[in-house]
Amino acid sequence: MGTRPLGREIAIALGFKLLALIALYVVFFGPAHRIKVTPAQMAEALSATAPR
Amino acid sequence: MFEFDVVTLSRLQFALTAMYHFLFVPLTLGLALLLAIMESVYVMTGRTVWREATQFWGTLFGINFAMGVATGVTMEFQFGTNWAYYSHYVGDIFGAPLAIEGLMAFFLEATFVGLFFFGWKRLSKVQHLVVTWLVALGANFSALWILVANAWMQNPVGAAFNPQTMRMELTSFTEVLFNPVAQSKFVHTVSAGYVTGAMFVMSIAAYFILNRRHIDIARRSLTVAASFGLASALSVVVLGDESGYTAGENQKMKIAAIEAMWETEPPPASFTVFGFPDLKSETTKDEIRIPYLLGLIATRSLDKPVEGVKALVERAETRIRNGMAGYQWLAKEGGHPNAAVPPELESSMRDVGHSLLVKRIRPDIENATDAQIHEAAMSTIPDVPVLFWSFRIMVALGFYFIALFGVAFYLSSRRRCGKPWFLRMTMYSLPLPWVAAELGWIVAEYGRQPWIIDATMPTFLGVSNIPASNVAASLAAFVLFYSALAIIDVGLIVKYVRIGPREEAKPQGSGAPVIPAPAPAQTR
Repeated sequence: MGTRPLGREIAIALGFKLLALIALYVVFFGPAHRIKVTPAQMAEALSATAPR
Repeated sequence: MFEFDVVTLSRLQFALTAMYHFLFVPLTLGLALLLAIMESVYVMTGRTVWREATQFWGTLFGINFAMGVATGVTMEFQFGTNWAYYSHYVGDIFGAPLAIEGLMAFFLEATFVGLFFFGWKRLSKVQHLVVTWLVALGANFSALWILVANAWMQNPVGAAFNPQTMRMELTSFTEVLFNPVAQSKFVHTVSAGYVTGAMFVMSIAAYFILNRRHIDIARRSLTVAASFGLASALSVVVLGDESGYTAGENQKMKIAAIEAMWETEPPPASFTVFGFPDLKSETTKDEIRIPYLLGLIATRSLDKPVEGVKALVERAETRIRNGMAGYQWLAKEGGHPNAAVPPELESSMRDVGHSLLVKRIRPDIENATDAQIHEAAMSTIPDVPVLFWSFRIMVALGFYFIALFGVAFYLSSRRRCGKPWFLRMTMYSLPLPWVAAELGWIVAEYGRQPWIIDATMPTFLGVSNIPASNVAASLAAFVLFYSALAIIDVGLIVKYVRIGPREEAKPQGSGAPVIPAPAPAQTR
């Protein structure tokens, strides 16, 4: 019966993926890393004295 | 050649994640519909071989779905960190289709994928068939909303710039949804997915027939995939032509770059099949051309010219100059709670995006010299050789698919699909639809440069003020993550292809996912 091996393999792969995505999010993209842009900042960016 | 600043690294990271995600998407789109077709035949004929075929291809579909799901969510991670200015500028418009995709299409698809696997013993034949069709429908809906969002970047309709909030705001959701670019892009992309699904089934079926295994299921699968693939490959070319026409209407520079057409082509415009674009001399050497064809593709006529790169650069220069007054007003008044565009500046405001291109060259753009304005206008030319060759290889593959599926359809309709040369050719063609699809995205997105939103916002202005090292670190992490996922995905698919379909449907009390058992090398 091949059901359990595939089910288990997919579950392990999904678990690995979930953990990896959470780690990527926390380390690189979480709220602490997110940049909040206000209208004033946007206006400043357009009129900034140096290209970003 | 490349300067690895935050702009380049952010672009590279987004391109990597998008291209990786799109390895899974076309197969999901195509295989879901093929499952629905095979199961429909099972329900109509009652022959268990069709159920076995559906269950086998369903297993491979499940692996692809499980490995592919959420690989696109990393692109949304990047919007908030790497692309903060872009997100602020377009969030009001871009967010809506992405949210609808997540809430409606993806959950529809994911729910019914679960029912597809666990429902074989719990649902009636017809109920299960409805579930399978809903999986296919959900996958297609998902693609629709993503492509609506993407098409808005190519042709920003149904929105207006608000100087108070300094962002584009939605004025007509209908216009965004029925954006001609979105419509043509959607049908072109999903039919490319159908070609991928058909090639996947046909190649693996060819592998089985060559190895004299599971002949019954393999022959039937090959026949279905051949006819479905032929219809899809023809659709891709016809609908790709429509995509070319909408680009000819909205993104003339992209068409000129794809064609390496430096000078305006007088009517009836001819199409360059082959040649060598030379950037230094701004010519294309050793051209082979087909008369009339470009006029028909880009303008649907034989009496209209198709503008070349040089003419479009001149026009970009005019727009840069025209946008300067609007830019100066925006730099002074933008973001104020009572800011309102003076009526006399409305025309200039439409070209502010072009003026902003000068910012890459000097910050005080209002003092730009003629040479600097010309340099900024020249930056509207995308990478001509990359577009020229990507497009031609993609189109050549498109015609190859028509020929291969045509031969497959002919041979299978005459029950002569066991010819080794044909089976080997089919088997080795397996990666080609992915190559074509990725090249298509390179043409669409690399060809949009230097714009992140066509003629509205330059790409370099969309990125965040973050250190390039941050982006480089997350890019390295993505490479590791996606490489590991790719190895697991290919490993699982190869393993379950080798195991092959379950030859005899055995009763299953658990209603658990149906997985094929190893089968002996025999035919029925």
